[in-house]
Formats: sequence, structure tokens, C-alpha cells
Amino acid sequence: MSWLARGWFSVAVFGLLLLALPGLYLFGLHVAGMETQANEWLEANLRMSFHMALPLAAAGVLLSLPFLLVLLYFLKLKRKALQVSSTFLWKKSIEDLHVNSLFQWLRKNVLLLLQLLAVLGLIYSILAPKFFARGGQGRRYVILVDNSASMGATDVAPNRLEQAKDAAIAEIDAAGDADAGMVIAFNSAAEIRQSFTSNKQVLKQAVRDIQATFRATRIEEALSLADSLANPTRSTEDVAVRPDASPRAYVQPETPDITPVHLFSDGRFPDAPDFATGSLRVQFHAIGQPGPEVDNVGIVGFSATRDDFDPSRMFVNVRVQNYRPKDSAVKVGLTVYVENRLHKEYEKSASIDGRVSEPAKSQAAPEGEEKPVPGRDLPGEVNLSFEVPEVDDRLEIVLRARLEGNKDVFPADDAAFLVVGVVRKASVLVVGPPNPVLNAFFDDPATRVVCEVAKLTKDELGDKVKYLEPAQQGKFDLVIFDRCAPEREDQLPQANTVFVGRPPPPWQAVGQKQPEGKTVERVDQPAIKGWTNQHGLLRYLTGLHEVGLYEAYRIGGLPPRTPKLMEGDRDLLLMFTLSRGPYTDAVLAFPIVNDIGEWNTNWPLLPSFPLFWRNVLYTLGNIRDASAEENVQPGQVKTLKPGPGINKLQVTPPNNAQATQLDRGTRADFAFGGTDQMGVYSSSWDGGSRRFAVNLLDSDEGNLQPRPGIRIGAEVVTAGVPDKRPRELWKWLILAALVVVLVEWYVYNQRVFV
Amino acid sequence: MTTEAKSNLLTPDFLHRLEQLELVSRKIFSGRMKGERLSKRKGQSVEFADYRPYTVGDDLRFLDWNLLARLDKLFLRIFHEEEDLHVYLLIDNSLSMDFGTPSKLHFAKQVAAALGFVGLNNLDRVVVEAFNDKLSQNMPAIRGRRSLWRLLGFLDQLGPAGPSDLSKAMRSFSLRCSGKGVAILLSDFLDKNGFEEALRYLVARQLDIYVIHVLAPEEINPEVAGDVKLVDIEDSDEAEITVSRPLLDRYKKNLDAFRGGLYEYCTRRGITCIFAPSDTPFEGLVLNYLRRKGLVQ
Repeated sequence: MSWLARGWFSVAVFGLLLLALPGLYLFGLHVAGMETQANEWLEANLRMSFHMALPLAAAGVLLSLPFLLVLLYFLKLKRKALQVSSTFLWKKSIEDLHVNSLFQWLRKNVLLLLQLLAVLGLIYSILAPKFFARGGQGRRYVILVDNSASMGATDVAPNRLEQAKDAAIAEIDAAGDADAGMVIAFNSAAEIRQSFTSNKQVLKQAVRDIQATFRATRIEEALSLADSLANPTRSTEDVAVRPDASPRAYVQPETPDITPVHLFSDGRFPDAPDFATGSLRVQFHAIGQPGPEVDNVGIVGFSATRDDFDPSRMFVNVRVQNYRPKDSAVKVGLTVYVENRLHKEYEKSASIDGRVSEPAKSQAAPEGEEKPVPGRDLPGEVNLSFEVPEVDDRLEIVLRARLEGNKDVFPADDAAFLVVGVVRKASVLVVGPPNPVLNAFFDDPATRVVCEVAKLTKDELGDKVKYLEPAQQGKFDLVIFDRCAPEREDQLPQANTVFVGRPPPPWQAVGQKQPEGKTVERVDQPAIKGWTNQHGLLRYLTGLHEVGLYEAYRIGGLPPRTPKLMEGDRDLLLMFTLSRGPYTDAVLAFPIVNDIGEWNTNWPLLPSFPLFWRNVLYTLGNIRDASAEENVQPGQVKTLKPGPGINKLQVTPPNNAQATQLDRGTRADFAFGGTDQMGVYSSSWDGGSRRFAVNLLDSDEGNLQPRPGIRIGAEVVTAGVPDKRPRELWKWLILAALVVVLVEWYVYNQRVFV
Repeated sequence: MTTEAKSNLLTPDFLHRLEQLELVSRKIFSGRMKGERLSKRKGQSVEFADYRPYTVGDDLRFLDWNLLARLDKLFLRIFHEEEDLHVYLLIDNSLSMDFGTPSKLHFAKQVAAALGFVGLNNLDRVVVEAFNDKLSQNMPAIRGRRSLWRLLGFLDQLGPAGPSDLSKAMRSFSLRCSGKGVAILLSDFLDKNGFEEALRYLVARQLDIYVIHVLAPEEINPEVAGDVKLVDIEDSDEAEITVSRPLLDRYKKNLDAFRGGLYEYCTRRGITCIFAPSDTPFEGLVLNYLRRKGLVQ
């Protein structure tokens, strides 16, 4: 063992120097700008990465510090004066030592070892090595946090949203220091809470700031947002090239990076089968207590209709779903308020079957692998009907349904509100030659319930009493011009209009001289190629491609960004809307009946035809009907139509907080977006007021069982194992270096161990 | 040096024990006055030494009449002459002696006081000389126990001062010193010019020389660490050192070599060299160690 005693120091110095080489090599790579390549190799082979935790200048200074200290150590710049009886022997010793000082110093200087250890600790600490973390730079990732109503469920403590936020913060921690992250909170809409940044603190704070909402969940918008921002499309054209603001050609980047999207949600949203993930790689992090044990019963439907024969009698229907795996007894209470005063209370009990859930199955994929398919589940459901007599149909009624004595983890769906307003009929004017098809719709008793219809001939358009004055005074809600139109724009009514088979002024009829830049051409036998069902006019319409047309008109010179509702072949626009101040002019570029009374289309034979005209009435006719009014979910925009001549309106939320002032501006109606709370909102304007209810009423939100997988595009994304939280090593190395320096100081001053 | 230390150079109990000792000189020197020491000269003491035949002119009082009666021959009785002894106590009081805990000077003064008391008790002529780079202070020769207070008084007021120059001081001493006797040199010998020349002056005076080499424990095992600037207490000479094991080892080797060199030099010249760290128990040193070394008996 004597050789060990003699040689340990040399071996230790040599070993420490060898240990320093990789660190110095990595530092050199970083200085040379090759950190990315080095990290790729490290990740592939050692599952670790490094990143210079400090700016280069600071790292250089830190690296030079130990050497500076060593230099000072040798330069002996500052020494403590100590009186001795004689320097005689000391000087002699120094002289002796100087003869072979380097050898002596190297032979047994533990200080050297400690210094080397400290230098090593510092080098490796500023290289910030990490295990289980991704290094590199410029990599992007997106954090999607679901803050919809179902995330407020308390099946996990304190609730799902907090769990999602914790998981998201852990994911941010797992990212490399150079990775840029983006935080998007989504519910029925998506909102960027933090754009791409590599500052983890900012990202974490953005996650922490996400608040719970009562909104429903839609994933498409969030994914679209993430996709567009992760790899934005690029265009080589700009305004100078396309001054008329015509659509520019956007292209995807040639080599888009695969951007990981971390989706923190319970998966309770409709799948997005039409979304192309493209360059996004969605990683689904399922939040919530897994398994079929869901403790929730909720109201998912709440509607009221008045008796057709006795308007003072009302039928209220409450639909309750049971998401528990076992049968549940519920007691539904209904409270009727008339003009803010309690009118009556009702209560009904029922037993609801338990939820039937089919477990997920595995389906053989073409590649021979098995793909999991999320199972279906059918909650138990019961419809409870209440008959509410003696309710004045001239008064506004507020209904409140609630589950009495129900305790579950999701109280948001235990109550619902409904406002049954006074029916307001639309005032409709139909102008044009006789049209039996339109007459059949507008003369129908069901139509007459919601609207008053007046009819004029084409010649009466110039009549001051019959048309011009009432039109200018806004007496009509909707004017339908069938194969005719006012001659000039100033003769257009102060109302929404529908032009059938004739363009609105300034366009003239086909064959007549058109103003400059405007054209109208006849097109024979066009085919319907596409339509949008997003617009209110075409909502719920299907099978429009079966509609055959004999002739139509190609109307040229439309303003840019004209909403295209229905398109035909040969780049033909068959239906569109034009904005005219607060009013909308809808244009059908084909007649229903031609000038000689023959049908131009087979559309009236299809079910979509009366639905279309119903949509026209309800969308453009300013009808208010309790039975037809759609439920407004939290976060949805509520459209308010107080009637013509009203330009200002204020909305008070359910908690009577600050009222919101709305200005109509150039819009046809008031749009109120602040519907974040559930309950009854009150809108008031000069001369009137109206209330409306906001309810969740969403089966997807109420069914709290986290889905194990979601379908996005053609891909089923299953909840994955979260990434391991990285263990930062460099701070420990810094600490080790400090300890080493302290030990060094102690040993140095104790001398006993020198 | 504290007042308490000054007044406690010698304790009464220790003095009592010292009374039984006397200084030993390997050389028998003649003294000027009669003391309790047998001189080489035959004299009139009561201690019989020898007989010798009578020669004309001898003092008839010393004739041994009994022998004349028995042998009918004249023999003279010879008695040892009792003489006093010159005891020179040479104390280095340079600044370097004021170092260590306890300080070397205090230790040297204690030893000097003890040996001086032994000398006085034996009616030796005790001379104390303090020196640094010269003979700085001296105490006239004293004799007898009653002079102890003068010895202690001198030693008490003796303080550190000045740089040391051993050879110059010993040269002055050798010129001044007239009588022969025992010279006890108490010093740390930390003289950058060396100690050899100084000892040669003493040797040349035919003195019976005892060297007591006093060093402080801090000099034997230095308690220094780190980067320090050593300042010489005498000439403010500076030495910047970084304390390390090799340096300390080298220092100790040099110290051992220095002590060894002094010891060898002294031994070769019949000088008794006694090494006494200043933290050595003083009484034990005088009562045991110096007795074994032959300085006292």
C-alpha cells in the first residue's frame, strides 16, 4: 500500500484534470455556437442536456474567478503582518524551499485538489446539465389549459383547474431554458395568455393567472391558434402587391418544426375530427380523477313553451342527466318569478338510471398495431315537465330550476334560469309580383304567429305613403324584394332586406346599363357547390347540393370581404350579404319563380326551403320568441335587438355589478360578450328593458369522467405519461463548490491538516 | 512582562531547595577572597589536603607535631585553601528575547536568579551582565546571601531592548572580565551573524562556560497559517511566506540543524550546551536537568 500513499496525490490531480476536460470541451462548443449539436448528441446518448445558465460574459467572469483567486494566492498580494523573534530561520527555510518549490508544491498540496474541485464545480454548474430535460434552443412548445366549466369540478383537490395548472407548470419546468413556450387558455373560445417566450417565470405566472370560467369547451379554436402561431403561414405579397386587399397567397413554411402542444384538460369537449394537426404534436394530459366513478347530476336542458290556445299557460321542461354509475333520485324545484316577484314554486322528484359506460376498446390499425378507441358512455336521463298556469303573457317571466338537496362535485349545473319574454312579432313587407311559393310560407298560420306580413307590388315602390315614408321611418323589420328593387340606394328601407332574383341598387337588373365597376350577367343552370352553415340564414340547412337552379346571375363589383353564403360552380356567388349601416341586405342571386311565373328552382320542394325562410325571419326579422330563443352559454355572444331607433343599451350582470354600456355603431344589433356568469342578465335601453338567461346546459361539461383519449383529425390522442420533472444539477454543483471553498478555507487556516 | 511575574522570579520554597545546591566548576579557579569553595591553592582552611616535607621557611604553625614525635621527621600539614568563585551570568536582553509565552527573557531571568542565588549562597562572586548588541547593563559583583535582593532587583528591572549582536557583546565582556570563573550564557542565539565568534571570545578567557539556549515554544512549533508577512522584532526585516507543510518541515529541519550546530560547536570546545524551551518547568530544570548536566550539584 505504500505506492498508494505515495501516488494518491498525483492520481487525484490527474483524475480531476481528466474530469475537467468534458466540461471545458462543452464550454468551448458553446462558445463556438455548437451547443445545439452537442445537446442533440447528449440527449440521444445520455438523456441529458446542458445549457449555459449564464450569459457568456458572466460565465467567462465566473470561470476566471477561481484562476484569479489562485493567481492572488501566488502573488501574495495581501498578507497579514506577524512579528517573530527573528526571520533568520524562516528566510533560510524559504531559500531552501525555492530550490525545488514547484516540486514541493505539487507533491502534497491538498489545496490544489480543493481548488481543482472548486473550479470543476463551477465549470459544470454554469454548463447547467440536466437529466430528463430537453436541451437545445429555439424549440417551441404550446401549453393549452382548459378552463371551461367542467374544470371547476372538485373531484381532485382543490379542483381540476388547479391540478391542470400544476401539471402545466411542471411541463414548463421540464422544458429547456432556451425553449420558447406559449400559454393558451381555452374554453368555448381561446385566448393567448402569453405569447412565445423562453422566460419560464413569465410563462408560469401566465398559467397561474388562469381563472376558472363557466364556459363550454371547444378545442378547435385553441388548436388553430396554436397551429397558426407555432408555424405561421407566410406570404411574399403585401399591400403594395395587392393594393385592393384581395386575398393574398399564404404558404406554410417549407420545413415546419414539429411543435409539441401540451393539452391540459379533462377531455370533455367535442372531438375535432376536421382539424389537421399538421405540424402540431398534441400531447394530452388528462386531468381529473380517472375512472367511471363520477359524482354529478346536472340540468342539461331547460325550456318553456306557451300553450298555443291559452297563452297564459306555460309548459316548462327540465332535462336532468345522471352521470353517476348508479341510479340516483333527484328532486327538481322550479321557481317562477313574475316581474321580479316570486310567483309560484313547484317540485318534482324522479329516479334516474345510472350512467352506462362502455369501456374503451382496442381496434386493429392498418399498421398492425392496436389503436385505443375511447369508449362511449350514456348518462341516465329524465325529462320533468311542469305546467305553469295563470302566467300573464304580457309580462316577463323568469324561471329558475334547481336540483334540491343535490350534492356533487360539480355544482355549476345544478341550477338553470330561463327568461320567458313577451312575444314580439316581426313586421315584414314583401314587395314584388305574385309569388305563390313565398305566399305559401308567409301566409302559413305558424308564420303569422311571429310576424305581420304586408305585401306591395313592384309599382308601389314609388308610392310615398305605402312604401317610401314607412320605409324611411323604419316601420318594417324586414323587407323582401322579390324580383324587384328600389331604383336608387336612398330608397332602400331602414330595415333588413332580402333581394330575391334581383341585385340591390346600385346594381340594376340584368340587361340594363350598370354603374361603373358593377356587372350583372345571367348564368344558366349553375350547380350549388358549397355553402356555410355558420351564418344564421343557413343554420341547420342540409342537402343544399340537391337544389337545382335553372338560371342565376353573376353579380360583379362586390365590395371586398363580402360574406359568401352559397357558392356555385364557375366561381358563381349564389347567396351573399351586404352591410348597409346597421342593416343587412341578403341577396339571392337566383329567383325562385321567374318573371313568367315558372319555378326557377326545385328548392321549394325540399325541407330546407321553409327552414331557410324561417331563418330569414328569425335572423333578420327581429323576432323575440321565448320558445325559439336559443340558450346562451357562458362566454357566448348574446345578440340583443331592442328594435329600430335604439342606439345605446346597458347590460347588468346577475350579481348587479358594474353595468356594461353598449353602442350599436354600424351594426344591426347589439352584441354583448360579457356573459361569463350564469344567471339572469338585465338589459335596458331608453324606453324598454329585457332580460336574458345564461346557462351552462352542456352535457359534455357535466359528464366529468376524464376521457382517456381525444380525437383530433384522424388521430386519437391518448393521455400520456407526463414528462419527468427535470432535476437541476447545477445548483447542487454550485453548492458543492461553495462547500469545497469553505472546507478549503478551514483547512487552510487550521494548518493542522495541511 | 507583568508585575506579578517580576515579583515571582523565585519563590521562597524554591529558594530553600536551592540552598542545598552549589555551582560546579570543572576548573578550579583562584579567587580574590575566601569563599566556601576549595581552591587549588593550599591555604588555611580546616580541610586537610596532604603532607609535604618541611623546607626551610615554611610556616612552623603547620608542622605536624605528632608525626615528628613518631617518625622524627618534619612534615608540614597542607590544607585546602577555601576560595570564592566568579560566576558570570550573561543574559541576552535583546528584543528577540521578549518573545513567546512565557517570554524567553523572563525565563532567562528566572534561571539567572536561581543560579545567582546558588552562587551567593556558596559565597561565590556573582556578576550579572545583560547584553544586546553591547553590554547594556551590568550588576557589580556581589557576594553572600544578603545580596540576593540586589540580584533580584537588578533582574527585575531588566527589560528587553535593542537588537542583538552576540559577538560584539561577548568581545566587550571578554575585555572587561578580569577574573576567571564560570560563565553562564543565557540567550536564544538568534543572531544573523552567528554565535561562533562570540563563543570564541569566551573560550579565550579560559572560562568554564555553560550555554543555556532558550527558545520559545512558538519558535519550536510555529503557530502560523496562511499567507503572512513575518516581521523581525529586532531589525524589522520582512519575510513573506505561505505556510505549508513543506515550509514548516523545512523550518523545523533548519531549527534542528541550528540547535545541532550550536551543540556541536560547544561540545567540541568543552562548553556545556543546555537547550531549554521557555515553557520548560523552571524549577524542574534547575533542580534536575542542570544537576544532571553538571552545572549544579
